[in-house]
Amino acid sequence: MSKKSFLSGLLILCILLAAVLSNAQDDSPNTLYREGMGFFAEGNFEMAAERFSDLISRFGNEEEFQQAMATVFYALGCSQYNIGQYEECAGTFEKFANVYPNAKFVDEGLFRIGSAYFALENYEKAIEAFQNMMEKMPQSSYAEDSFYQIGVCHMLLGDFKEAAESFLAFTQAFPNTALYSQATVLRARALFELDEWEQSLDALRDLEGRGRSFEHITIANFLAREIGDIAFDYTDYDLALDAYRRVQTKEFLLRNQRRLVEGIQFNLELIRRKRLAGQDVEGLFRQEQRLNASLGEAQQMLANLEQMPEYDAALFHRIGRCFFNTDRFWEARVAFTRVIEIAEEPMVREAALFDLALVLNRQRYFDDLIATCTRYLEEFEADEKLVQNGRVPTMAYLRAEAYVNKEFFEEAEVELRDILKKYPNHNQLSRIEFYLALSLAMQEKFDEAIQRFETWLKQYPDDIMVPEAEYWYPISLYYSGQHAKAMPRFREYAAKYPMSVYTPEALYREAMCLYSLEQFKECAMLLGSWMERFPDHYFRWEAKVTRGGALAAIGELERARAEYLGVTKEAKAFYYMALTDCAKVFKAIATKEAYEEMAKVFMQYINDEPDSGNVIDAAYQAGWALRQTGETDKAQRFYWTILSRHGNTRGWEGFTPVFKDMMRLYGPEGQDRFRADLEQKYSEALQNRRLTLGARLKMAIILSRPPEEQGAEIQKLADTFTVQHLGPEEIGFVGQYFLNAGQTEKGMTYLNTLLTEFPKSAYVAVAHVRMAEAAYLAGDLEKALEYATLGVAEAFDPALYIDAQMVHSETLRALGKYEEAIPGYTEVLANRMSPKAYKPLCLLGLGDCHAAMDRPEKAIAFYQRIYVLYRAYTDAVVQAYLRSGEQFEKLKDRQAAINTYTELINDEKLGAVPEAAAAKERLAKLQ
Amino acid sequence: MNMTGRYILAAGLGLMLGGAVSAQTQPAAKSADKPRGIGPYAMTVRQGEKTARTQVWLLRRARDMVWISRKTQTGSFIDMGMHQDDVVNLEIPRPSVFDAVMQAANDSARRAAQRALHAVQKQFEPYRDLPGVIYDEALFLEGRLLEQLGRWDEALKLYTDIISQKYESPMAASARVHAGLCLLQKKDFEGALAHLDKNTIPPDDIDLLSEVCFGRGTALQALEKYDEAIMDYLYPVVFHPFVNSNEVRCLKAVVPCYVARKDWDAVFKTFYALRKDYPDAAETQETRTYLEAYTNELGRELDFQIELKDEELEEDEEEGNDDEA
Repeated sequence: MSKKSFLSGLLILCILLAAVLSNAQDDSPNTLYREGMGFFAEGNFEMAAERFSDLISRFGNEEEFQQAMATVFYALGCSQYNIGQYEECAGTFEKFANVYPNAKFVDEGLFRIGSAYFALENYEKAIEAFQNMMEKMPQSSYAEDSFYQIGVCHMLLGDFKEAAESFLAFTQAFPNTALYSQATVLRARALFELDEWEQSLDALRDLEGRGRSFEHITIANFLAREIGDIAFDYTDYDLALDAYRRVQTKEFLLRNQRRLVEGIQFNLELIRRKRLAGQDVEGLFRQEQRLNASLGEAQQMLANLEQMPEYDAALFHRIGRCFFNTDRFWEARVAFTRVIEIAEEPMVREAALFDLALVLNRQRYFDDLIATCTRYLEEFEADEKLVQNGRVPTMAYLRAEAYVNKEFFEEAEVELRDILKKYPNHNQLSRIEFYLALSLAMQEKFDEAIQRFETWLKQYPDDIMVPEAEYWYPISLYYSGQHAKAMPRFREYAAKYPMSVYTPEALYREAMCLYSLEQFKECAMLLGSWMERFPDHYFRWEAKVTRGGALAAIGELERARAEYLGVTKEAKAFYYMALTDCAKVFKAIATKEAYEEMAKVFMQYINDEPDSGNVIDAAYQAGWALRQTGETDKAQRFYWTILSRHGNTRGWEGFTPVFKDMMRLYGPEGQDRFRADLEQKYSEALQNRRLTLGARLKMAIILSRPPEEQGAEIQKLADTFTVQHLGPEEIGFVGQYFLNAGQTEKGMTYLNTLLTEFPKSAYVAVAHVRMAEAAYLAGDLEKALEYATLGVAEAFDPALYIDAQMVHSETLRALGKYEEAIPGYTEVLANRMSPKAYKPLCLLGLGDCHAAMDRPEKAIAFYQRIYVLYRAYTDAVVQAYLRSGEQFEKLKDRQAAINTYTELINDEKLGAVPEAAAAKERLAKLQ
Repeated sequence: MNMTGRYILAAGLGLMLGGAVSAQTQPAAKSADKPRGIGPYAMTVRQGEKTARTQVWLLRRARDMVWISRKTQTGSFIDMGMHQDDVVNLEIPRPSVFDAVMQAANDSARRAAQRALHAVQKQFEPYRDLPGVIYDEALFLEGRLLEQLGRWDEALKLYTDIISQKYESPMAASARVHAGLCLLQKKDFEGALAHLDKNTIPPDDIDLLSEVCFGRGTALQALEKYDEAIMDYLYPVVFHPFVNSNEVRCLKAVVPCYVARKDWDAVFKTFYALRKDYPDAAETQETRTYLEAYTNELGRELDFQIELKDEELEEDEEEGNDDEA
């Protein structure tokens, strides 16, 4: 309550008194009165009080002055109030009210008694006084203020229950009072102090509904925030959210509060002017009293607000935490994102970034999580305190884990190694080491992965991740080809964790290990029980194909056939895989019925998957089977139908085997008829502008001709059809022809087109191998190595694979990579399918590699095998003698060298070749 | 530099504004007994470093000159021109039609309001760029009327007119937002997004901010940018839930985005929040109806949530036992 001076407008009231006291002398009542009023008007309330006291003590009991004396009492009380003589003031107004109960200002007097006690901080007596005022003069305008002040007194006494009840009763009694907002805010505060947070917030809600006054927005905001804070501390996040989200931004509050302070100051100035003009004394007193109280409060609040750093950011962060703690991650994300945008203090931003990362992790938004962690680490990684309290290491871990979850194992590996180096005592050490092993396994770095899994399982035998490690460890073994080691671990895993999601796969892998270890019977049995147990498992189709293979391997052909044919079109890629594997079983059974069934199932495949790229191969399988049954006409018709229907589909391949089989169907006597049919279909295709089909038929025509006639025809084919009309087979065919014909540039153009337009074609491997050969011959060893490496990896056809290995090894040797070249040569040499011509070349290569690596004995052994085993290959034999002799010389075995050169010179056939001159020259030197 | 010094053509401004400006050299204007033009309005003008306020009637506009009529100390009225840059503000009382516009409940009321707005526009068009002139607000309000009538193209044209002015219209931020909302109605989602920018909204205009967020959410959802749509829909939920029924309408709007993302956890929690906090709201009922098509997914999510709760309870119990032990 204000203690400032107020109400000097008593002059008007005192005109009457002046008339009564008009005849007074110096110490007369008139003099005392006039002097008192003069002092009052000047604001000298002390002197005024003295004069008014004197007047009352000397003339207060005079009968004739009684009526006028009421005003003197009133003026004295006001003066005493203004000079802070509150106790005297209360006594004066009590006497005034007792003696003059019907005086004009008695209600104000009664109110001032309460105000005086209020100023004396004697709130109990103030309450009594205000209650007395209300009881005695309930109709007075002061009753409203008294009622309000009672609540305020209770608040100041800490009687929050009474305060809350009092303010509620007040707002119910005066629903339209200007003090409604103030009273309601104070009621909310009282309820808050009583720990009635919900009701406190209800009171604030009530205020919103009525439209809060300008004045109380900030107070209500602070209270809402306090409710939010305490509810948050007590984990009542719903209530906290309800409270926090009623709080306005600092900018809004500051603007509002500044406006409020300016408004109050303006109004006080207005009141001051009106008071000087003597207007509405009673009303002004009340207004001034209220405004003074409000101004102090408003200024204090403004100062508080201005000093609050990161007010909004801290609020929004709390909102975010509430949403996070109630699992409403999207809302939390919105809140934290805004905090990051507005936070000025690095530590506020740190907290928001950290929490945002936690949200994103829960939401599994790994890209955003990586970005957030990266931003966090860029800004705070060097902060030692954050490192020590584990926040920086946590962010680093979350980022690494996100990489794992994204299956970015390369990045994960780098991150995880970095964490292990920087934070060797990280609180997630077991997971970090597990993830590192997993990341390595996923990158097929099996050796280190296996070693890490083994160490991990020893180091963390009780860790929660043990089941994971016990699964991924044998998986790593399995994919590194250590099937014998992996198999029992899969079995143990399945026994130990029968309910694990990985168990079906563990059992399946166990069966696959058995298959790899050629324990086909066990494999078939295990897969049989596996399929019964997990009939809907994702691997079920692959399991059937594998089981078919296992059964076939142990000679259970009928059961194998049944297993393969149990794979339906639902199995997608495995459907055709099962059929092609089953074809081998049909061929092994080799009965007419088996071939009939084979033809039938492949035709069914064509019906089931008419758009599959396997259609032509399926047609070949079906046609071939029909031919075995002797139904040649039917087979021919079938092939021609397939060609007519699908022959113009440019992307498809597999036509060459079809044409070759058709050639066989026509028989030796029917070759002319076959060529005639091809010519006719070719002509029809051109007429119908089915140019791809035309090109395919043209290629078949060429292949039906003697080899010596083919070259010119291929040239014609290339001239007739642009590459855009050729399928992958034809492009590969023409390309290979040009390379063989020495037209390297032209050939390379075709093969490059094949690689660009049909990167998934089976002929890509052919292209790579042929391009490697061409590059090798042209001396472009780097290119040759690139193509040859691809060729080795891609070639499925054994002959092509051998070509690939051959050129690969030759290139490596030519590049001086002798050790790397040796395995390829050895493989070609050991392969029974290798063309015989390759074998002396391999031996020569092996000899050269060892010779280059200064291993003359080993080199000589390979050279000698050439002139012992491959004498038909004159060039190679001559080179073998010469290089062998050279190596003997290197060994200082003069006699062996002489013998070697002599053997070459004395050979009837070899002695005549030009290279023999070199041998003679060496021999001359040695002798 | 004070442009008035160059452009005042009529004598008496110094007199008019309390003699603060030195005597003018231009020929005196003809004085009259009555004011001419529209007004009177309080005008604040620049006078060197200071400003002065007086009562004027607006006469006409000639390029960058504003012609006014004002009363002299002798009681007569004179016409004078001043440079537009010297007009600090004009205080034009807000016509009652402005408040009537948003209350117009039917087409005839809207048509009447539109006519009244046209009259205001006609009166003030020449002065539209002067601070305090209500032309742009009248244009904006007409746009709002047209929006109510579903005449998006016409509304958009008016908003574009406001946005494209060289001067900084006080209605520009609102016009930009409503242009965005019209584009949204026209299904020009990219265009709408270009107009709906949270950063251009005055900080205490929560209503407008709410509309921007909701509009952005709608546009982004239509463009199948669900994550961004969610972030925009939820902005008012997180920061201004109790304004404009933001929480209930935005939670309802965000649900299809969650469904598109198959984020059943978020769907579940959002619907739970709607049911808990707005059990009787139409939005809650509409969301329930919408989600009927996803009963299976929500059922699975519910099972998961129950499982989760059970696990949490078990954990709590275990912790409790430990404590007791």
